[in-house]
Amino acid sequence: MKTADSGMGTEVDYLSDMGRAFGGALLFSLPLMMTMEMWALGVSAAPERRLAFVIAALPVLYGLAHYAGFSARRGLVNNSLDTLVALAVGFSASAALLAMFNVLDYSSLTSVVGQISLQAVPAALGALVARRQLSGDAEEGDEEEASYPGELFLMLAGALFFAMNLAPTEEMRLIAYLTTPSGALGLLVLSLLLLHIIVFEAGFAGQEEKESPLRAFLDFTLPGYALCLAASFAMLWVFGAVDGHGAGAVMANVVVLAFPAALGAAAARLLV
Amino acid sequence: MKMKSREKSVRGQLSWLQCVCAVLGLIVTAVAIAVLARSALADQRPPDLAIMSQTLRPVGAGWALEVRVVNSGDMTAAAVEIEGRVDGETSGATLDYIPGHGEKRATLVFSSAERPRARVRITGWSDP
Repeated sequence: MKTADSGMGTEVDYLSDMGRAFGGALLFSLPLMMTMEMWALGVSAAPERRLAFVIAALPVLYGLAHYAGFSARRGLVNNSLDTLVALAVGFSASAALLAMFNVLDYSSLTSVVGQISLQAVPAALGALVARRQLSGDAEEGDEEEASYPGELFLMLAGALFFAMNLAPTEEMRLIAYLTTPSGALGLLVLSLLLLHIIVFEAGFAGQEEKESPLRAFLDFTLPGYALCLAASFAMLWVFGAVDGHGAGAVMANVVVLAFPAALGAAAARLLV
Repeated sequence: MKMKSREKSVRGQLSWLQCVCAVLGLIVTAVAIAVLARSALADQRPPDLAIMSQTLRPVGAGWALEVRVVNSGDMTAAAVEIEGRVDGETSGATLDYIPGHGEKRATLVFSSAERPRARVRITGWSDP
């Protein structure tokens, strides 16, 4: 009897975790689901890039299940199960909403699957940071235990979390075209500066109490910004935004997107 | 600390709901990857567009000719321009995207009072 009660309690607990996961998925991915570029990209982006996007997301989602997650359970099995559950939540939430908005292109199987999977990945990401965002308990989350690579991973996750909502939009390209080389350079310096100030002020857990600003710059700001540049380039590549561009134009696009990415990375502790 | 104790209490007991949802997630993700991989690995033939059917109906402005455009290629065609001509009158419509093995509809309007016999053709498209 006692076992049955505790079994029931486990299910009820998990049900509330699932509710939180759906909340997180909607909170994060609704802006993307209501962005028309995302509907078109689900059809028009090269199939191998759509595939690469889904596959590359899996280890990131697993990492988030470990460091943030939507349930308090941890361990290899629980993290893997939660990653898959987050994907189930992401796929079902995006399929339902895109169908309700009537923006799905049913003309071929690849187009429907492409559109849904492109939205399901950010929705799963939102689901996996739900505990931090929606639990109401500021102490929720496991970042205290994060090692140095773990801290860098969290910065990457923060960068993706914040910049992914902007990456598919036409405005990012337009800003990259309109800005001058010195403007782009200024944006790069500003990104580094803000990233450094926020990271140093917020103080990562892996960071020594008496760490000097220079040390923090070398340990966190520079590698963090490099991750922002890499994440920005990867997102732009998936969305086909830098095809046929010269090196200068590619760099302008990457630097423009790396600005929100850097803010996301800096605020990683608040976001994920 | 509170979380730690909770973590301990739930460790080792997997939720039935969690397992079911994880299996669903695995299936859905595997299917999505399989569909995308099949299309990514297939030899990508360029768009091949054809007008498959036409239906004509009277409207306030004259006649509306609905055409169905089918893409039998593998790649997506963007900004597909369709042009229809009837004795000196030219009408046009643009379709944003026609995915590979997909189809879309467009409507051309002609102002003639009599039932028009239009020559409809696709004038061009671009890569997405």
